[in-house]
Amino acid sequence: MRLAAPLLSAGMWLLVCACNAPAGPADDSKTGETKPPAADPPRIAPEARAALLRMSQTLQRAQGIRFFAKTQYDDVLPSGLRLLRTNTVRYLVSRPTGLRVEFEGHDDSRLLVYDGSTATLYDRDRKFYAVTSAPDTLDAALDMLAREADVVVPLSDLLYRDPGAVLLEKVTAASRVGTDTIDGMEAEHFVFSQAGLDWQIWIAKGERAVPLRLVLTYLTVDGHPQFTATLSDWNLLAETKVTDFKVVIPPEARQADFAVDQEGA
Amino acid sequence: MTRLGFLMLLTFGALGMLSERSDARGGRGGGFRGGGRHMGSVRHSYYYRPRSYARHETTRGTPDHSQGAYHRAAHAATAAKAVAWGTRVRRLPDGYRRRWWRNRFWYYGTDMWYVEDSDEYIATQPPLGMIVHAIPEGSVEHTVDGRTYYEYNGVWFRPVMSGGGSSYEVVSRPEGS
Repeated sequence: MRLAAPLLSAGMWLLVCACNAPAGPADDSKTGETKPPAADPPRIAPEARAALLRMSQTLQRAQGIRFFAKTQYDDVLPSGLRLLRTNTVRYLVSRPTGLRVEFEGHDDSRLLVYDGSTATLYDRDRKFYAVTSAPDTLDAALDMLAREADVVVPLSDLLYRDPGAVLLEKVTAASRVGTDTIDGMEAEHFVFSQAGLDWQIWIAKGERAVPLRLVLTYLTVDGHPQFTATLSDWNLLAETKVTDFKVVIPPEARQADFAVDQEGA
Repeated sequence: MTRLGFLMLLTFGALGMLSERSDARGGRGGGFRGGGRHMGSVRHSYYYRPRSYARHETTRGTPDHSQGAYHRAAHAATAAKAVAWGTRVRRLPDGYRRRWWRNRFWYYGTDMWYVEDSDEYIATQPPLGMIVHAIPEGSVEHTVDGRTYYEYNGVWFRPVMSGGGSSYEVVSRPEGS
């Protein structure tokens, strides 16, 4: 019955949610006025919030962080055929002004570097690169890159100063699923819901509460594609050098501009 | 009702509600990117955004397999004959990709773009400003004022970094080319 309890728990809050949901605008019989329905209060299990807080504290204590992620995602073709794509990503963080992300994927090899004042993206296969000025903190740089350069760094939530706060900012419901073992490490498994997205996280048990797996399910995209990242090789005492956050661009590489795809998906 | 039955009722009730909630959202992402470039961030999940559309093409769309093999859309291994602009076809190339741009779908397969017209597809020049993840294999590289461009069948592209990786923007023919 270990599995039944979390399912029961999930079923309960959904049932409660459905029962409490108003069928339409509230009718105030005394005044005759119609009031908009009150927003449902968020249903976030305290243990889920606490787990993200523990994870945040673990990551916040670290100045230099190195970790590795194997990622995979569903590439849903127009016909509905679902392809599984895989990538590997290596992360190096030096708070608050250094980030190096190396992607190796099925269709390209890319390097993103942020040094506190500029961000450079280099496509090693096609030998194109783009450079942009960036804010002086990693948090602001990650937001700017997404908004102005169309660069969404996978697992960027974990790179912010307070990952728990970032992850929770739009959550409407959360619960604990149970325990699991990932790469031999015991982990607690939680599920979160927010508009358009369900996501799950597995956080290592114990004082070193690092995330071991993250799964995102995109609910507004047909086929509900998933992105899954399995994280390993966590080093929370990583030593970094200034040169880690510089890119050596070969002379044959050509410069391109960052461009935001206004209507892309 | 037994305790187990009650648990199953609650569980399947919850799953049923989840299913109804998900289906109601519908929609499907499209594009030539091969997907994935905007995925993987909870805060920035908005950037992996879908476009609503009617699912009509699934009833007469092309399969993604040909003789048992999956064909990559952007770079089919076998070179195809160049299709002239304005050519009408009833069937898109195997493994075509699709993206939403300015209120319509654009289809890309075997080095050609298409738009839908009645029951057919018309080979059409991609519109200025559209960003594509891949360009035809036969594109010719040009350097104009020190900047790199590609030209294919009268359509010009400039390389850009978009969606976290290399892409190409459709541009007008650069002066001095």
